[in-house]
Amino acid sequence: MIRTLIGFLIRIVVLVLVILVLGLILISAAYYLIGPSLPITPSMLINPQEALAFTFALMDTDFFRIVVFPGFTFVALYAAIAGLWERKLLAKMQLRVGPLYAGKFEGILQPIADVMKLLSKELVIPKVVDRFFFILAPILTVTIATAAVAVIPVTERWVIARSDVGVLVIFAVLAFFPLTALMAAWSSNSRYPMLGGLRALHQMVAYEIPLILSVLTPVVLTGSLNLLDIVEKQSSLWFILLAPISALTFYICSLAELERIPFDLPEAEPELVSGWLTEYGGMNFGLILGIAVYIKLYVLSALFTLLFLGGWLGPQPLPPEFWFIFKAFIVTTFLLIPRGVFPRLRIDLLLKQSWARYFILALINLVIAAAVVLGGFKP
Amino acid sequence: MIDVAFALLAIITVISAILALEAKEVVYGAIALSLSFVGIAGFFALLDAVFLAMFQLTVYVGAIAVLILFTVMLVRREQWLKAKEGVHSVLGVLVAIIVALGLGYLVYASTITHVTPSVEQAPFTLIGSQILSEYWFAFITLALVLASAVIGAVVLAKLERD
Amino acid sequence: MEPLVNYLFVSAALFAIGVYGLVTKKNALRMLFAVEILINAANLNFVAFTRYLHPTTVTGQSLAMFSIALAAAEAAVGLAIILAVFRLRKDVDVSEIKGLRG
Repeated sequence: MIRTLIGFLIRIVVLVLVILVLGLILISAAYYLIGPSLPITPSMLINPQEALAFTFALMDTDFFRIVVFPGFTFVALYAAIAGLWERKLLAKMQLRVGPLYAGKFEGILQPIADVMKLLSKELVIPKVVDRFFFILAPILTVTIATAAVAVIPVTERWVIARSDVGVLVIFAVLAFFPLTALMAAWSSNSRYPMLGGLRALHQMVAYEIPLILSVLTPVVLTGSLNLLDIVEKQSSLWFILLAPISALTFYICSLAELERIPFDLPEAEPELVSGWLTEYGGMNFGLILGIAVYIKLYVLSALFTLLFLGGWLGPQPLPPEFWFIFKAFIVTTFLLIPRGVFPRLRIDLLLKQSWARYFILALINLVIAAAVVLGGFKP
Repeated sequence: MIDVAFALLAIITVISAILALEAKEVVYGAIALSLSFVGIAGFFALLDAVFLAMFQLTVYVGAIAVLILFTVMLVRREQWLKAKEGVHSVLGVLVAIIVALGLGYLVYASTITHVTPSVEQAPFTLIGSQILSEYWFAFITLALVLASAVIGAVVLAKLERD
Repeated sequence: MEPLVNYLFVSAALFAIGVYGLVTKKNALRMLFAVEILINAANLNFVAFTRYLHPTTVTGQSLAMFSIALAAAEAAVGLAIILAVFRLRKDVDVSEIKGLRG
C-alpha cells in the first residue's frame, strides 16, 4: 500500500522502467517486422529527404496502423479526450464549470490526472472473489473492445483489417460483452454486483437485436458487408436521409449498449452502489469504466458515421481523415448529451421498450429498405 | 507439415472441451465451453469460411454461452454439488477411445489422405442465395422451429411463475 | 494449407470427447455441454469437407449455418427444461429423475 510520497514516486519509476523494457521489446519486434523492407541507414541523419521517405514508407506498414493511427494510440487519445469532453459538456449543461484546475487552460490535463490517480490506488481484491475471473474480466473487456477497432476504417487507406465481412465482425464483438459483464459480476460473489450484472446482461442482450437490425439497413441498401463499400455508396446521398428510422434506432441502441443514461440501471449509483462494478477498485475500475467504455464509445460513434453519415466523404479542401474524426466527434457528443438530460428507465420498462418498440422500428425500416432495393433503386 | 496456428487452435479447442466436462464447478465448465466455441470459430476462419466464423461467434458465444452461463448462475451453488459424477467413468473413457480410434481408422483407410489445397474459394454471398433457392424448405422449417422454441420457452417460464 | 485429415482428426477427437461426456456424466448441464461439443465437431467436419472437396460451392457452410441455428434453439429449450425440472425437484442428477419409470 502506498503510504508516502516516496512510495508513490517509486511506483511511478517502476512503471516507467516497465514501459521502457516493454517498449524495447516492442521496438525490436517492429524492427524485425519492418526492417528487411525499409533499411535504416546512417545517412538518414544527414539527408532529410531520405528520412522523410523512410517515414512515409513506415506509415504504410501494418505496424503503424495497429499501433498509431487508426489503432491503439489514436483510440486511446480519443478515449481520453472524450472523457474530458464528457465532463466539461455535462458541467456546462448543468451550469457548472467542470474540471478546471489540471492544466493551464480549463482543465485540459484532467485525463492525465485521472490516470495517475487510478494508477496510484491500491488494487483491492477481496478475499471471497474468484480470483481468476475477477482479474480476467476487465482484461477481456478491453481486449474485445479493442478488437472491434481493427475493422473500422478511418479512410480507405487507414484501416487495419480490410475484411469482406467487417459488419459481422462488429456484431461478433458486440456479442461478447454480455459474457464479460456476467463474468465480472459473478466473480465478485456478492449481492449488488450480481443484481447489476444480471440487469446489464438482460439489457445488453435485449438491445443487441434492434442494433443488428438497424445496422442491416445500410447493408441492404449497399449490398455488401464491407464497410469500405458502404461508405463508397454514400457519395451521392448519405444513408441517414434514406433510413432515418434506422439511424435513430441505432443511436438509441448504442446508448443502451454503452450503459449510458437513460439506460443506466446496471450502474445505477444511488440504487446498486455501483452495480456490477462495485468490487473493482483502482486500475481495475480504470480499465473497465475508463478505457473499455470509451473504446466502445469510439467504435459505436465511428460505426454510426460510417453507416449513416457518409464516413470520410466531405468537401475537398479538408482531408478525409479530418472529416471522419469531426463527424465521429459530433456523434460522440450526441451520445454523451443524454446523461445530463434524461432520467433513468426502470429495468422492466427498458426491456419492454426494446422488444415492443425498437425492434419493430428497426424492422420497419429494414423492410422499407429491402422493398426499395428490390424495386430497383441503386444508391 | 503442421501449421502453427492450426496446432495451437487444435490444442486449445480439445483441451477446453475436456475442461468443460471435467471442471469442478459448472461455471468454469461453461466458460471453457465458450473458449472451445471460439476455437471452432478459429477453425472456420482457417478454412476460409469467415462469414461462418463470425456467425458462429455471434450465435454460439453471444447467445448460447450466455444462456448457459445465465442458467448456471441463476441457481445457487450448493445444490449443484449434489449431482455426483457417474461411476462409469472408466467405461466412458473406453467408449470415447474406441470411437476416436474407429473414426481415425476410417479416415486413414479411405483415400482422403491426399492434400488438396486448392486456391479457389466460394464467395460467402453464395450461402444466402443457396439457402433461399435450393434449401428454401429447410429455411422455412428452421424459422418455424425457432418460433416454436421461443414460444415453448416462454410457456415454460410462465408455468413456473404460477 | 493443412491436409484434410488433420481437420478430420480434430473433429473425431471432439466427437469422442462429446460421446464421453454424454455417457459418463450425470449432471444434466454437463450432458448439454457434451451435446454442444458434438454439434460443433460435426459442423467442423461439414465445413472442412466442403472446403477441400468442392471448393467452389458453399453447401457445407449453409448446412453448418442451419446446424448452428438449430443448436441455439435446442440449447434454449433444453435449458428451460433443466430449469423447470430443477425448480420442481431441486436436483439436476438425471438418474434421480425417474418419476415416469413404470
